[in-house]
Amino acid sequence: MKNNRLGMIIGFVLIIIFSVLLFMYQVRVTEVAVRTRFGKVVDTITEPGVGFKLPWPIERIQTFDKRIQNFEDTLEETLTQDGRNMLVMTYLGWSIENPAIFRDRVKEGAISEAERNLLSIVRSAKNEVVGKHPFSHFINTDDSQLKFAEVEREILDRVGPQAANTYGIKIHFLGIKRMNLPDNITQKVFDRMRAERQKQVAAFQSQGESEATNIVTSAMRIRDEKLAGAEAEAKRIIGQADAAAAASYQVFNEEPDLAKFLIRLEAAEKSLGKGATLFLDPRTSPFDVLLPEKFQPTQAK
Amino acid sequence: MSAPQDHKHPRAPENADNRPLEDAGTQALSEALASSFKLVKVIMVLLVVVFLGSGVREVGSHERAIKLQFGKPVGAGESALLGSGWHWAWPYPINEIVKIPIGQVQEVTSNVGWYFRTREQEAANMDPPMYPVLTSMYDGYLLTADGNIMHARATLRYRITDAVRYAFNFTSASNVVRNALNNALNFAAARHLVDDAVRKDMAGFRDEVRRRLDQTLIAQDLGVVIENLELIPIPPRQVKDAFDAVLGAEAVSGTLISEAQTAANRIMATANGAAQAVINRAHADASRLTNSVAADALYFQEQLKYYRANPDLYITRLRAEYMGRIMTNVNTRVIMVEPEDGNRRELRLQLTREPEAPTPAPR
Repeated sequence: MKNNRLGMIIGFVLIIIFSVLLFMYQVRVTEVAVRTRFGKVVDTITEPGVGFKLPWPIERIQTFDKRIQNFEDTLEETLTQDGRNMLVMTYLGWSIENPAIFRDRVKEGAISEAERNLLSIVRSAKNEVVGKHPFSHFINTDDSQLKFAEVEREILDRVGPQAANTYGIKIHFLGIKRMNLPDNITQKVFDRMRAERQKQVAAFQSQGESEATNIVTSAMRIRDEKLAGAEAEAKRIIGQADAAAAASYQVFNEEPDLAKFLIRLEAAEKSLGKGATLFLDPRTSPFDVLLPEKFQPTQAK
Repeated sequence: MSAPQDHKHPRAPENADNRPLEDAGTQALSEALASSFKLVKVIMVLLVVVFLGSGVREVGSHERAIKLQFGKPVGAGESALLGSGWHWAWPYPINEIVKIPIGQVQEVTSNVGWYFRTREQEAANMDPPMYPVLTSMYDGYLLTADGNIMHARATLRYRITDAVRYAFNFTSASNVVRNALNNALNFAAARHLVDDAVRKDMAGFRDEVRRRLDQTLIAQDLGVVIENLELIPIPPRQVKDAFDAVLGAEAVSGTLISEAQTAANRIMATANGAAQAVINRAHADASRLTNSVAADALYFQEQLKYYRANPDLYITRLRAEYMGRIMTNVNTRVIMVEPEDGNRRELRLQLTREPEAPTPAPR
C-alpha cells in the first residue's frame, strides 16, 4: 500500500509536470512572444510572466529577444554632395517591437537574419543622406555649419519607419561610429598637415623675432619718452628756480649799474679756465697804467 | 464440533516440501526490491535536495541581484534588488536569480580612434611599424574640423544606476556605452582643429567628448553614470616630426620673446634711473641756482653801501681784484700794444706761474 501511494505521488507529479509543459508557457522579462494557432498568429504577448495555452500542435508560443540589440553597419565609401569620398559607419540600437510582423518577415525570426535586412536599409539611407550634405557638414568649427547630429537624425528618420513597417523592428538610436577617408587620401592629408606645420614653424620664427623686436623697441620708446618727460620736468624745475631767482634779483634794481658790473665780473671770471689765452686791449684796467698817457709824472700829485 | 476436529486434524501448510525454496526466492526478490526501492527513495530525496539547493545563489559585495519569478522581476525599482549574501530561490523555471555588477565600476575603451596594434603590442605598449597611409580596415582615426587626421583613445569608467534597465533592456549594454564613446570622439574631433585637439586645447576637446557622451547616454537611457573619462589625443605618427618641429619653433620663439622681455625690463629700469637722475640733477641745479642767487643778492646788498660811498673807487678796486684773480688762472696773458707810429706790434707778457706739464714723448 505504501509503495502504491508513493507511486501514485510520483505519477501525479509527473502528470503535473507534463501538464504544465503542455498547457503553460513562460515569457521572460527580456522576451516577447507570439501565440500561434495552427500556425497562424492569434496573439502577441509583450508582458513577462506565465500563461495558459492549448497543447501542441494546436497552439504554440514562439518567443523572441526583445532587448535592444547593438548593430553596426559596414564602413564603406560614400559620396558627399560636393563629390568628396568619405567612409561612414553607423551603429544603432534596435529591438523587436512587433513580434508578429518580425516572425512573418524575418526568416526563422533570427536576429542575424534581421540584421542582414537592417544592413541593406541602413546602407541605403546612409548613402542617401550623406549624398545630400557637403563634406563641410560633417566637420566644421562653426556650429551653424556642422550638421553631424542632423545627419544622424536624418538617417534615423529614414531607417526607423522602414524597419518598423517592414520587419516590426524599432530603432531606438542611431549614431555615427566612424568617419574616415579613402586610404590613399590619408597620405595626401599627411602631406598637407606637414606643409601646414612647416608654415607654422616659419610663422613662429618670424613672429618670435618680430615680437621680440617690438618688445625691445617699445621699451626703448618708453625709455625715450620717460627721459624726455624727465628733461621737461627738469626744465620746469629749473624754470621755477629761475623764477625764484628773478624774484631775488629784484634787489639789484636798487643799483642796476653795480649789479651789471658784478654780474659781468663774475661771468668773466667763470668763463676763463686754466690755460686760457686772454687778449686784452692795452687800455684795459689795470694794464692801462702801463700806457704812457696814464699816470704821467706831471700828473702826479 | 469443528474445534476438536480442527484440533485433531490441524491444518497443514500447503506444499510443505517446496516451501523453504519458494520462501527464500521470494524473500530475496522482496529484499532486493526493498533495497532498490530504498536506494531510489534516497536518490529521490537527494534529487529533491539538489533541486531545492540549486536555487541558492551567493551575491558578492560588489553585486546586486534580481529575482525573476516565472520570468518577471519580483518587485520594482530599488526594492527589486537583492543585496550581497546568500539568497534562495526556487529553481528554474519558477525562479531565476540574475546577478548585476552594480557596485563595480565598469570600464570600456574606445575602438575607433587608434592605429592598429596587436594584443601583444597593446600589452607591451609597443608600436607596430609605420606605413605612409592609414588603412581603414585596421587603423582607427578621427577627422578633425580642418580636414586633418588625429588619433585618440578614450577610457570610460562608469557605474550602473538602473540595474533592471541595464541588465534586461540591452543584449550588451557595455557595447552600447562603447559606441556612445566612439560617437562622442568623432563628434568632438569634427568640431576641433587638430592643433587644438592634440595640443592647444586638449581640455576643451576632452570636455566636448564628455558633454556629447553625457547627452548620448541620457538620450539612450542606459541607466549608467560616468565616473571618469581618460582621453589621450595625439597627432598621427606619420606627421609627428612636423608637430614636434612646431613645438620646437614655438619654444625658440618663446625664448626670443622672453629674452626680449628681459632686455626690455633692463631698458626700462635704466630709463627709470636715468630719468630720475635728470630730475635729481635739475633739483640740485635749481637748488644751487636759488642759493647762489640768494647769496648774490645778499652780497649785493652788503656791497651796495660801499659802492654808494664812492662808486669809482669801488669799481676800480673791484675790477683790480677780479683781474688779479683772473690772471692767476690764466697761464698766458697777452697785451696788445698799439704803437704811436701805427705799426702793429705785439707784446707778449709771459706771466705763467706754473710750468706747463711736459708732453709725453711719443714712443
